[in-house]
Amino acid sequence: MMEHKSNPNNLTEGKIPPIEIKNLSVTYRTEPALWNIDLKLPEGKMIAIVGPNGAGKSTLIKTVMGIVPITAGKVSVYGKSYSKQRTKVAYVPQRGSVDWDFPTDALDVVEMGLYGKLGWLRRPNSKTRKIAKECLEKVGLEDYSDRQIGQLSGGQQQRVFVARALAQDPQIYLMDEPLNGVDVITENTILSILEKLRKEGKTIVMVHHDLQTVDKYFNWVVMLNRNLIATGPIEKVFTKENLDKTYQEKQRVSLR
Amino acid sequence: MVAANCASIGVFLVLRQMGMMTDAISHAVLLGIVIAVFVVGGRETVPVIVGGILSGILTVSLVELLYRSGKLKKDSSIGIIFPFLFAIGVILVTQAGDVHIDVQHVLYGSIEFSPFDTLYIDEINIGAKSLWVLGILAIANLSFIAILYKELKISTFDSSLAVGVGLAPILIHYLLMIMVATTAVVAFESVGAILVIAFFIVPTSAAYLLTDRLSRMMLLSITLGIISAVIGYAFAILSDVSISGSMATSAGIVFGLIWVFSPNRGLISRWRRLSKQRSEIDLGVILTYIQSEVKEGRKVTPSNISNSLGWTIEYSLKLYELILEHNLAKKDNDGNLFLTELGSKKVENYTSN
Repeated sequence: MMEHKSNPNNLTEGKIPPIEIKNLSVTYRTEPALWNIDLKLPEGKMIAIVGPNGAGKSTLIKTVMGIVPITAGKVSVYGKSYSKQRTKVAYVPQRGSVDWDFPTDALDVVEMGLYGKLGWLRRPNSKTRKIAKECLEKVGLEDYSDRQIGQLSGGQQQRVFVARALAQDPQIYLMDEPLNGVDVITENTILSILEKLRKEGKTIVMVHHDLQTVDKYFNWVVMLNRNLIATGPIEKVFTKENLDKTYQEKQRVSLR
Repeated sequence: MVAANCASIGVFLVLRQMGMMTDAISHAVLLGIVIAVFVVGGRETVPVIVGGILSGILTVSLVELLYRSGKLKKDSSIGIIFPFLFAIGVILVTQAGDVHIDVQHVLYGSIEFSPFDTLYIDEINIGAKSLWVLGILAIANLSFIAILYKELKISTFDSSLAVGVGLAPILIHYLLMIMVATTAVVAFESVGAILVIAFFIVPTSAAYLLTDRLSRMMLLSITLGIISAVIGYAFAILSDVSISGSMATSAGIVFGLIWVFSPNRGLISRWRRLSKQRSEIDLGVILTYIQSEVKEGRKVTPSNISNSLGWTIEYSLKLYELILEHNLAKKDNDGNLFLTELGSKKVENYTSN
């Protein structure tokens, strides 16, 4: 654990970064969503992606996962293309992205996190069931395992998603606003889990909307507004000047 | 047979909100069938099925193309593509003087006659041809689902996760569409386009109202499909009306009954739950009111309650008696109301939430 702390510049010392983005541009039809992004994310950090609405925060994460087609540039995960590194990455989508009326229960959703490792045609078994149960326990939902997912509260649904990512057991967690509109218990549960993962050397990349808590929860920040405004350790980069640049005049923000 | 076939695949269609797509495919296969008939000059089963599948895939691809490329919504894209393909089919049919297919047959089917179209192997009658074809299809469909159950489930529930973990949801999507097209063509030979849709969507939707589990939904859907088919068949024989028509009608009626009476998601249970929640809330309101009034040293009577809370005097009286009955509040010797321990606890519960 100490290596990570004592060597904040391990990026530059030949270590392969978990995520490296070069000259990335993404456009939706003719509308640019991301423009010429160059970015290296360090290992073992809690990384926040901040920026105004439409700044391309979610797009950036989805690009890493290969869900959104790239117009130009290159994304690599531990030095290779994503399709070779699938098992190293887990994605926690926004809650609204799935149909919560789907006839399935919490445990089942968590187990879906393991489908990728199973590969084609192999069926879930007692082993995957067991792992799924453990992950559900970690987020404190063991009593809700057979609850239909639509009957869970918003925060519980979010925790189910986090449990699903845990089941995937990746090196990198990509999360799209997991703390948006959740209750205090959920927020604390998720944060303590992530902090533990970070100490184990995992990298957490999170789209985050609440600027007030950025310096409290994270130790690295990516400030985005289609272009990359700034990136680096919170204490160096998360300044009023950069915030103003990121949010421009549209959305004035104060740094307390 | 048709019922079981359609109902099993239908589950994924309903969950993918693709009911309209089924409609489109089942109509557009006409084009493929007609072309196949032209090419081979007869209604051979295999070419007809192949033609149907190809036009089914064409339909799906064109719809996706329109949907992805422009500003069109999915339902409008479907609405453009399928009448177009179906209409070409209709034109071709009317040109097909020497080949026997008519639109009537395609739309309404001719289940009445399908048992007479028997299959011979070495001159031995081995039973109705459509039964054999459907039987084979049922095995194909069920094994398709059994083998790719996990893949179908994940790509239906969360396709971005499916992409992420490398279980190509687009491939699954097209495989599913191929199965839909095959089922539609085969089923349609015997029962026609309208009944096909009825069996894809109706039993499945009914099953959806009954269960929270995908596997159970599948079984229920097949069972309901068969039940509606049998009821519809019996009704048609007894009163001498169109079999396919009465099957689709009975499917609709079965769905209607379930929609009203389903234990969890039905109309009645929802209505009950709402009114129960309502009275639960009112109970909380009245208890909180009593507590604060007692604290202020005022007297609580049914007419006070009615005045302060804006409820009718009858309703206030009813709740008043209810809380006395349940020991949530008691009267002291002067006839003043006060909350029991149980009542205070309840108020605490309400206010702490």
